[in-house]
Amino acid sequence: MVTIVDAGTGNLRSLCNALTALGLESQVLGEPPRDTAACLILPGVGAFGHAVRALDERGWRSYLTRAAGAGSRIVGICLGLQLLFERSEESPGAEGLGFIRGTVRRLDASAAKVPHIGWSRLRPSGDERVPPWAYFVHSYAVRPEEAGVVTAWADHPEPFPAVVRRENLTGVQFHPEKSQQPGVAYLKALLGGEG
Amino acid sequence: MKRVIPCLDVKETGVVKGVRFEGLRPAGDPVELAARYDAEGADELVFLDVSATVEGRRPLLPILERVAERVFLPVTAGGGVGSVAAMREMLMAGADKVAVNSAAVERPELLSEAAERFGCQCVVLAVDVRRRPGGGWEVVTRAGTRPTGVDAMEWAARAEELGAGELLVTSMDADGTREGFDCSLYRALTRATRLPVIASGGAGSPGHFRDALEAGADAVLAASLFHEGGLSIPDLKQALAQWGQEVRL
Repeated sequence: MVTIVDAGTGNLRSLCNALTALGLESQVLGEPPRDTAACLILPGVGAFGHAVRALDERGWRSYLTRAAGAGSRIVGICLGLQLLFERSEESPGAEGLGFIRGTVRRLDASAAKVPHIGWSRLRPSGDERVPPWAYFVHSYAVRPEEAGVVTAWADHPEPFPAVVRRENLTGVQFHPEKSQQPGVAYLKALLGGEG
Repeated sequence: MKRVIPCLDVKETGVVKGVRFEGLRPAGDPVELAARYDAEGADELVFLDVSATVEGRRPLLPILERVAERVFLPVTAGGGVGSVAAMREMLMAGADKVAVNSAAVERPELLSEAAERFGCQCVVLAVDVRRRPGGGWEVVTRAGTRPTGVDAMEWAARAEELGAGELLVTSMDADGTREGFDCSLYRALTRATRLPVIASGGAGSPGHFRDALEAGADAVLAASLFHEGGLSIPDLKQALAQWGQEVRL
């Protein structure tokens, strides 16, 4: 069972559909369940500050902090990846979950158009088995303090982390559920075949 | 990376296509078409409800739901979107981005409200324009029925400030003619705004797409040319790649 964190920012249907197509059971929860879920997806479309407020109001911050400490598998997608970090230029003053050290910065508009919308090639930095292409829609990108957590980069005039891993936490800046069949298959691998 | 985007104009439950926004004729089942374009390597899909604003209905939601079950591609949906609540409905039905058109011209704050709520990358401003006899382009709303007197370049720049994340700009003069995109329109837009621009209206051959991309468009959109088999997406992308355009193959 995959638990999808609903912070009210919409577009969970595509994700649910992708999980269904993979044969994975999932539940979308607006508030944390009583038990610690073994496998969680933190999705997100929208603004960092808005999502942080929603996570706090719905009691997700303390739940996710406990789950991360207890070894639950947590996968952040797009804004969900950014929420794993400490703070974002998008919403100064808003406190991220802080599971991974570093900040979220706006893409450099002098390097390429912002928002970055479209497909980019992925360049794994180690043995990360990423799809060759992935679909991105974002204006901000994570800048981890430890370079070692980045396991794949996006091929872009201003390269940015596409996949970040730290222990049981993974975050992807792209949308695997929108990256056709290779993206959906990669999502399954991230979830560890959890079902 | 440049994008190739088939557009599905939906009226009631089918896909339709006209010429210069008129004489709409059936063009196929939206879900089947979406699946075909997914298999052919389309980079995104756009669904526009071409009846909604004029007739006050919303037949697109069930179609989006069915498409999202089968196709794992980014989807932009629009047509008759007048509020943040209506945008959320589209997103919940499976859209990734929502295009607003007439309502934003009538109430520009809708763009900032939407950007605040969903992030600007979710907000596509669709603009239908017509050439002015004296030069420049005028914004036309309500599915091409209502001239506004608004200058298209000024509107694009204002929309960027308000929070639009992308522009989908259709030349009504070129729409459905297959005589080529209005390239001077896209050249002017790249000077007026830094937002990504999707060029729409007039595609008839691979060279037309190349011309629009060279004029500064970030993505190229076509409808009837793809629906009716006049040009396949793989053939188009191969041609664009040979001309040195960066496309996903």
